[in-house]
Amino acid sequence: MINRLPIRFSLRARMVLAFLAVAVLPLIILAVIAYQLLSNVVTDTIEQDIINANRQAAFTIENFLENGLTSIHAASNLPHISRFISDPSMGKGEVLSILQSLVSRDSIFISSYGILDNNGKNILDTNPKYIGISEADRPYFRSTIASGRPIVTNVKFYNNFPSFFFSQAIQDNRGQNIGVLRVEYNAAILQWLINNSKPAQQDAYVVLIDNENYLRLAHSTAPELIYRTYANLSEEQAVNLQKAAALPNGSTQKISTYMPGMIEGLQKLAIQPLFSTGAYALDGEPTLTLGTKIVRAPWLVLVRIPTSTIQTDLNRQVGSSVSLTLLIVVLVTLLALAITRWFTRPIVRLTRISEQVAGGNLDIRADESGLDELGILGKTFNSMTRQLKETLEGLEGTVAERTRALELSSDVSRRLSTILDPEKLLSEVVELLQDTFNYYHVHIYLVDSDRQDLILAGATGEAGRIMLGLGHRIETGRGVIGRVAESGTQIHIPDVRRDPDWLPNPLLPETQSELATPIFLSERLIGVLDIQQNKVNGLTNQDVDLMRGIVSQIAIALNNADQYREIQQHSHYVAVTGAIIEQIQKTQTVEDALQVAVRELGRALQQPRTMVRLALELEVEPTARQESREGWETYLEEQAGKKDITFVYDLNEVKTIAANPVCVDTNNQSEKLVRKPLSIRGIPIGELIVEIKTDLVELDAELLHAVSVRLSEHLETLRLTEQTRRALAETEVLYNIIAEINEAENYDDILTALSNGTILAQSSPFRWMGIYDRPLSGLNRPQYAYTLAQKTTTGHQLARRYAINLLEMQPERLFRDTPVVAKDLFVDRRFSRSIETLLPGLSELSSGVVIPLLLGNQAIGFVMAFFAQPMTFSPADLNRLSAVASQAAIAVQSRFLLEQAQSRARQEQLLRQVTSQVINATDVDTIMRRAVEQIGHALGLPSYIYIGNPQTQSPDPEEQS
Amino acid sequence: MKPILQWVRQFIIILTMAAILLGSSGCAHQVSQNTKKPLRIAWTLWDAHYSLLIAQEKGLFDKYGISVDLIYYENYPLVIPDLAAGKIDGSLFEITDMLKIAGRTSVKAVAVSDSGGLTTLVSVPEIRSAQDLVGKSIGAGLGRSGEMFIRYYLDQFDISFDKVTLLNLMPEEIPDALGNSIQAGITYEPYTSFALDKGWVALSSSETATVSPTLIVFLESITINRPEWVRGFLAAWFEAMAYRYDHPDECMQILETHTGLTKEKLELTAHLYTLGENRQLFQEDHGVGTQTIYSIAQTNIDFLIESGVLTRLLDIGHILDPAFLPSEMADGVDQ
Repeated sequence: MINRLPIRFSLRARMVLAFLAVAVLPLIILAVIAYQLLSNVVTDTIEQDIINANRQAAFTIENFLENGLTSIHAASNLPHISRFISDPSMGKGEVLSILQSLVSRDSIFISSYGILDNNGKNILDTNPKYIGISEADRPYFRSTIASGRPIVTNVKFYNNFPSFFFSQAIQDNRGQNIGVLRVEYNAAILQWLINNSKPAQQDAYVVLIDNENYLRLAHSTAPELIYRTYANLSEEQAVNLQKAAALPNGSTQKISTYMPGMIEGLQKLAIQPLFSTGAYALDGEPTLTLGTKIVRAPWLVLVRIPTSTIQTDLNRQVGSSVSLTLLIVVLVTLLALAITRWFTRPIVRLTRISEQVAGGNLDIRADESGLDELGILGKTFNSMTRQLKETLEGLEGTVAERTRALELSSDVSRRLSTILDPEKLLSEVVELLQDTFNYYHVHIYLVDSDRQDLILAGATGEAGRIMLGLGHRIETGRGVIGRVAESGTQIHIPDVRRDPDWLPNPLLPETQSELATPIFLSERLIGVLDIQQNKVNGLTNQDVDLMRGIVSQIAIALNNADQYREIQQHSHYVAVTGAIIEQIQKTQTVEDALQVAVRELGRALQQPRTMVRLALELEVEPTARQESREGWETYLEEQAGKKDITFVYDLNEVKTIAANPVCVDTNNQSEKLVRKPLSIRGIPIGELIVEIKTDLVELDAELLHAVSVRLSEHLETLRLTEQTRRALAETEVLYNIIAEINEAENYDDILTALSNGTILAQSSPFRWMGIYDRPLSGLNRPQYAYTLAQKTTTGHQLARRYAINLLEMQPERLFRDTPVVAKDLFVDRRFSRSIETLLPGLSELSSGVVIPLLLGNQAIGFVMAFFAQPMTFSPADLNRLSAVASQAAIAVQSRFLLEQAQSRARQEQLLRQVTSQVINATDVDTIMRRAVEQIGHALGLPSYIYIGNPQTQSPDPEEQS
Repeated sequence: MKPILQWVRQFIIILTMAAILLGSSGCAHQVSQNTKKPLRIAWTLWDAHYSLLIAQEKGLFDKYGISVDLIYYENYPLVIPDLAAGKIDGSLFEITDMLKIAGRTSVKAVAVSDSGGLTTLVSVPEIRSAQDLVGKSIGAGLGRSGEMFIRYYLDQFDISFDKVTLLNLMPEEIPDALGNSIQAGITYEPYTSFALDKGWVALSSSETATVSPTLIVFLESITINRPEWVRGFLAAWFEAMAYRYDHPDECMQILETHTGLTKEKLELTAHLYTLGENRQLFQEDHGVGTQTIYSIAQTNIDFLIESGVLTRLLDIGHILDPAFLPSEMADGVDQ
């Protein structure tokens, strides 16, 4: 446990501490026990001291009283005194001399001796002042004259002078009380007595008190407290007591020093003489008090000691004990230092010698002279040192050899670390090992994880070259190398002839010993290093250790070379990928991009055929966004209606093919296809297809992936750019056409403008713009189509109007609110009736189109065109035609309304003219004639007036129109 | 190794210091017991005592680093038992009183204050001579200088001591007792004046002054526990006495204020002994024909033993102790 402490303890320090522990622990235990005992002893001793002091003080007082009583008793029996009382005129001087001699026994404290007659009158006194005074009411007279026994009074304060009295009855010859002898003592004698009874115990003090009023009569340490009471006196009580001379004069506050604890203790004194009081103003700290009653006087002797004194005494005793303990500890420590020095000096010396030996000084010797265990230890130590020296000297040669081997090993490792080509590395390894350590043969097999065997990867000499040329392999578990690969442990065969499992190699006939060491990389077996020597035991344990180190270096070097190669390859692929992507991104059109991509990718992958294909028949996820796909559909539609675009690169040139490459026949069935989709935001728009002979390596796959991603992005960019450009061009064309339509002055101009900017401009022999008699909308169908404008190269002149049913065989086949296209009129017969009606006799037409003139959701008319050759109507063509037609519809409507308005104006003018002419006529004929003239003129037609039954003269409605 | 040995050495040093400290703590406890209360000194209406009032008024006790409580006693006889009982620490006592006290309590007389005053035998007018005293009652302090005075006085006129009746009366009681219980009495100022004021006559003048000097007396315990205070007290005493001589008017004013007596009754009747005179009185080998305090004390002891007051021999050399007399005083003090 000591060694766990933060301080390092020497042997000597431990021994010193052990000594201290042995010495101090019992001391501490003893000290605790002693403290308890001491505490009791001190308390008992102090209590005993108090008791003794109390007894002594009480004895002193009692003894004084006893002497006083005896003395006065003896004096009262003097016949001179009784005679003097009987006849005061007899012997007064003599009696006075007797009294004065009695006073002189204690002239300091005896105030007076006096003789009282039977009535209490002072008839003679050593103090002349008292002579003649009546003392009948004094207690010393009343008690004494009544009982005849000597008494001692309490302290009285007659004339405020503290005194007490002894008194004794004076008897005549017949034993009758005839007077009283009394002696007055100055009460100071009580203080003197107490002073001579001071307790031995320091701090203890004696107090003599009056048992009736608890008045202090003497105090051994504080005489200033004399004549002050412990009791709690009221003013009235104090005055009454002062009147009875029981208290001195003075205020109650001065006389009374109330101490309730003390009063309580004094009242229980008979039961419990020893009691404690608390802290009070005059008596200070808490105190232990022992009280004893004086027998011959109404007094109590108290011995008091402050409680703290007991503790102080105890502390002093404990302090002494502690001092003694510390002294013992010091002595024990000194003794322990001396003894431990004696004990540990040989050990310390031996320790220093051993430190020198550890420092390399093997010539130093320990002291062997002692006959004890230390002497034996010295001899043993010296023997060990000698053996160590011999061993070290022997080892030096071995170490030199080992150092040489390690240097060589280090050199091999250093050279290996500079070779980064794995194949070169292995050949270098074997050559280096053979050259450096002069082995017969060295070769390395690497694990072929695919075939679960070992393949020779590096070997020395001619034998090695031959075996490498043959691709020499060894099965796992076969031969020494196979066993090493299987077990993962090194195998050392000092003599191959003694190993029954050893397999001879005819190319290495001189092999006598062999050492095969597994090569691990991160606990994975990657190969076996095998060295052979052409003598028995030619490979030592040193070689075994050396090869263990070498294989680690080989493994690291191989790993480094592999990593270097991977990095190189990766860098190459990154560069190739970057170059391809750069080429792709330089292209401006989709097709260029596809061609560049397929060419560069094919060159990089060097596979037989590489294809790229834009195709929309690929399945699409239902939830996928469709914008791109629709965009591509439009794009492909715009590319002359192609469904897909496919380019193929066969390592010679880029060609376009129409067929799905999946269906492309491959000459070699062993070849297979690798597909990489081209997709925009998850929408497949095509794919990259590589027809491979061998599997793609990981980097090739990454290249394919990177190209596909970048190609997809670039294709999308190109498509968007191209479509945007087209849309802008389309908008411009439409703008021009619409402007031309808006500037048209008649229907022919409108038809011309409409035809110029659209597909209708292409060699159309017949173009016709008509207007319905009522708009075509929903279920509303017009009956007639009126000719607004026509452009024909066939010489046919169209009628002003045609019934709709003359133009189509079935309603809504041609005249609809959407364009109707017939690419091949020979196949599509919807225009047959129109052609027959409009262009009778003309049969060289190949295709036709009807474009409705839409205003809102109503078709107000149409544009019909026929073409001599089959036409391809792209959505863009139709969109443009529809857009132009809508604008034309507005122009036609406007013009049509204008013409109607103009026509009504003319009619109204004619009507006014006819009316005027008719009104001016004077007879019926004139009226009739002018009416028919004016109407015919106005209408520009022959006019007739019939008078008769209209039903019989119904004109031809065709004619009427 | 070395740090551990140093640690052990430090441990020993600490233990040793702790032991020394613990050992010394007990001694310190002993010393702290001695508390310095003021000295309780009694004084009465006696002209030698008035120097105490001067010292107190002029702050001489403070000057010498002591504190004194002056306690007034109306009756000098009450001072005697109080010193014997230890209720006061010291005062001025007639040598006979001092010796009586010494018979009961250990005291030290450290200086001679005065010659004892002009002790006078006063009597009723009917007594004209010493012979008239025969058969009369005479008041005197029995066993004290008064009794010694009357013995010497009667002896001068060859009158036997047995021919008179001695009543134990103190000097201050004499004026009132004359004509009642006594026909003559021994007293001194101011009580002599009180008696003469009442029409009594002086029968003698003091002739026994030198045998009843007054001494400055302390409880021996005071001289042991607080010797420097005793020295300080004496220094203040002698300086006050010198001041009293040097500034009589100022001192008379002070005394009138403190005693309530008239100037006449405060006139100095005793001879106050200077420091030099004290040194002479305390010289044991003083030559023939002169008195030392030791010889005076011995005379008094003889008287007290003869009169039965003192029942044991006293060691005068122990009781009289000049060791507390100031060694050097300022100019004018040591007259």
